[in-house]
Amino acid sequence: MDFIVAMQEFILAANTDAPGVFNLRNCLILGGILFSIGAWGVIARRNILIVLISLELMLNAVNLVLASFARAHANLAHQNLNPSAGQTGQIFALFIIAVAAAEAAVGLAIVITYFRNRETVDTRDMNLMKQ
Amino acid sequence: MIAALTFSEHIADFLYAALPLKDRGFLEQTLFLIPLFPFMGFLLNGLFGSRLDKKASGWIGVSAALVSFIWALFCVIALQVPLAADPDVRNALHSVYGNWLSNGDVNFSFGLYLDQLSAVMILIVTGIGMLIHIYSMGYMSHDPGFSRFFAYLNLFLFSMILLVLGDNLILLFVGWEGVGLCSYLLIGFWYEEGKNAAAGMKAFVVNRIGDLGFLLGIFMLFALFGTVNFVARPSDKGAGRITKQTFLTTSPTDPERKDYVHVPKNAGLLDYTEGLRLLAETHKDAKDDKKKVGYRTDKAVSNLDLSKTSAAKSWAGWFLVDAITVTCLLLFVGACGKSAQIPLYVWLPDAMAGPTPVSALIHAATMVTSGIYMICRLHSIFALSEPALTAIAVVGASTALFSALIGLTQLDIKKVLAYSTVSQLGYMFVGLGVGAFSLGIFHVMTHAFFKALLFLGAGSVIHAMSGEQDMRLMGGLRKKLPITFATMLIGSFALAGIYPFAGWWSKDEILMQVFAKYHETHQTLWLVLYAMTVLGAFCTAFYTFRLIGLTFFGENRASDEVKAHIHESPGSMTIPLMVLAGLSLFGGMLWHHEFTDNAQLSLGIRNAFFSTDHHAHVINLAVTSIVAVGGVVLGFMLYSSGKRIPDPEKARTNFLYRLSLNKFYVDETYGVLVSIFIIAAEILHWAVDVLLIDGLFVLGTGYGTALVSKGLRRIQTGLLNWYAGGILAGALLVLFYLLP
Repeated sequence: MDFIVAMQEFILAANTDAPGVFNLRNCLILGGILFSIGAWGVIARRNILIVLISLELMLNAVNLVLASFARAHANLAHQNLNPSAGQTGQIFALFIIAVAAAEAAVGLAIVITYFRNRETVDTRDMNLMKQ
Repeated sequence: MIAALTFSEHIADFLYAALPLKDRGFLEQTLFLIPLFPFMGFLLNGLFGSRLDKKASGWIGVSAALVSFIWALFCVIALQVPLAADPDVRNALHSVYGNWLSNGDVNFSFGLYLDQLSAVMILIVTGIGMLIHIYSMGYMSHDPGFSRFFAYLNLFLFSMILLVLGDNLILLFVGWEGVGLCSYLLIGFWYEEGKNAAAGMKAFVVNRIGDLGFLLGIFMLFALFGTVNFVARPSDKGAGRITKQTFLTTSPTDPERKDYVHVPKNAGLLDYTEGLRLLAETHKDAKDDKKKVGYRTDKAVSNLDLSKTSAAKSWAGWFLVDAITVTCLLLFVGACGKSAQIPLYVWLPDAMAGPTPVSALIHAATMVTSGIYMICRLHSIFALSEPALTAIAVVGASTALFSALIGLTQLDIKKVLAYSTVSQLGYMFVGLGVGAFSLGIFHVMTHAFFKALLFLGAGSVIHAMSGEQDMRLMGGLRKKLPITFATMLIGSFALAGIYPFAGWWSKDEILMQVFAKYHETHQTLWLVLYAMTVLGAFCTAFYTFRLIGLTFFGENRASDEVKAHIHESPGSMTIPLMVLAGLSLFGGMLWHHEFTDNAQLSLGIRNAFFSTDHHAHVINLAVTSIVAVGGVVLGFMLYSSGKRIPDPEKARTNFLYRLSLNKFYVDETYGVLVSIFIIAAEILHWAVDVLLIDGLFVLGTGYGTALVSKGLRRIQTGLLNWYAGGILAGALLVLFYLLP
């Protein structure tokens, strides 16, 4: 319960900040919302294409969080006079974008092949291993 | 007669000059030949027996025993040459051939030790063993398992020699178990018949009970003294020369204390007890019976409290009861098993299921006496414990009387002799229990002569009667089997204890010692024991001549077919009979000096009690003579006419007769007692094995897995979203767990 209380305080604290200024809290809340939407899409939707899109949404939510933390870390690192700090998160986000692109290509190729064979994109019909 | 004696002396002189008898060192080194020959015979007959013909395997067996006997004879003759004038010096051939187990101070060597005591035993074992090998060539000649029989007999001889010559308790135990194994194999020799196999198993199982006690006794001795060797090894300087000067040195911490014993390094059990005895002798006059005696050794220090009775008490402070007494009683349990004493005697009468030569050699003459030998070997330890000796005497006397009573009514000729063996073993234990150890061994020797003779004679009778063992179907055999009859008559007189046959010399002396013990101590117990042994002696004389009367006198009651086959046995069977008859006739007369003349130290055995009281001797002589002659006359008068045939039908009306005929229902009682344990074991088996292990552990695991998977199977939906959700839920769980 402490965690939930801490989250509530965290969200309320985000609204007090002035607009137009980089705010880590707001970025994290946005990332969380995007991730949750993506997760919901993966779990709830039956269309495999929508599931894949939701997956992308989740990946991009993570990218957002990584970039935000990198920015925040760079701010902190600037004070410590460390010029290379804060780059790791951004590089990681770039990697994820690249891997996500590859994954999307492979995934879509599989979906297309599957559709050609089975003429369906419904996940409820994708249970050959169980039968 | 005198001329014959001097002539035999000349022969002895000649032989002594011609043979390597003077070379004591050589014979000491070659002691191992005595067990080696029977072992080789065993290997030859055991491995190649099926390819050899009967004659060859028979001769291999006989010659192995013969060579072994001759070599033993050489060694024993060499032993008779006195080593030194000092009587405290042990006269023995002792050689150690190697280490068997060596770990720090613990050292089990493989060594052979021949002193006067083992000399008597080794001559009995190999000598009578050889005679019985010869006899078996005739007796077993029609048997298909001929070479197997000789292989077993040779293995038995090997184990028995190891038992007798072993220089430590472990080696003795190896022989002890070896003879047990051979006994089992030979009782069940005709294993096609279930009864015989069962008898073998019974012998083995009952002996296990005794062996457990014996093993615990060995452990106790090891715990008390830190060694299992009988004497120090010959390589250790000054070993075996135990004198007062060696032992009585001053205490290292307190020079004023003179009651300190210094035990030489690597001292054996007998060295320790010799030291204890010497110490007790020194302090005989001391009033302080709580005197502490320190034992200083190079290995360990154990304090033994030497009380007035010279019994060592309270060992290392944690033992409240007399440690030595416990040890002795445990060892005696072992002796009870092997030597068939109450309550473990039940296997011996059943052991008669084996071939008759086996009954003669193993279950009468040699193996069953190994318990007596073991106690004599450790006599100086037993001498320290008066209670243990008394227990031995009580058990021995009870067994002597009890089994003699059973022997009165048995119908099977071998069963009579079997119970007689149990009874005579009881007399030996009475001799030990009184404290006259050398008399126990004396009776072992004479008993070996006449009981082997009686068994072989019975075998000859059975052979003639085409395998019939029931005495009710015999009778009148004296004319048809003259040699068997004459020799068995001599054996029977010896067993009954008639002067001057061998049995008289030893049995009478034992009874006399019991009486003298009463005379000296005035304890009623000894009078009771004396009465029991005398009554037993009467029964012995009675049933022996009942056997003779039923077998050899009266009319023959066998069927005509059997009657036509009756014939005297071949020479290979009658010659051993005649030799043994000679020994039964003259054995006691010739050799009683060795056992009785020096009351203190016969055969290197220091008797705890040996009375030469003339008064007691005369009284005992009168009593035993009347009893023995009375028994013989009564038994013979009642049964020799052939009109009085034992009738088990009478058991219905006569309670005592029924008891004796049914062996006092001991087997049945044991059956009930054992079945209680079996039922308990079955309940345990059901609870632990069936329910817990088979049920809960084995089947439970299977059913449990099936049940769990039945439930878990539902989550395999085949839906992608479910799995994705599962992954997410799992990730979230990990996250919540990791978050502080």
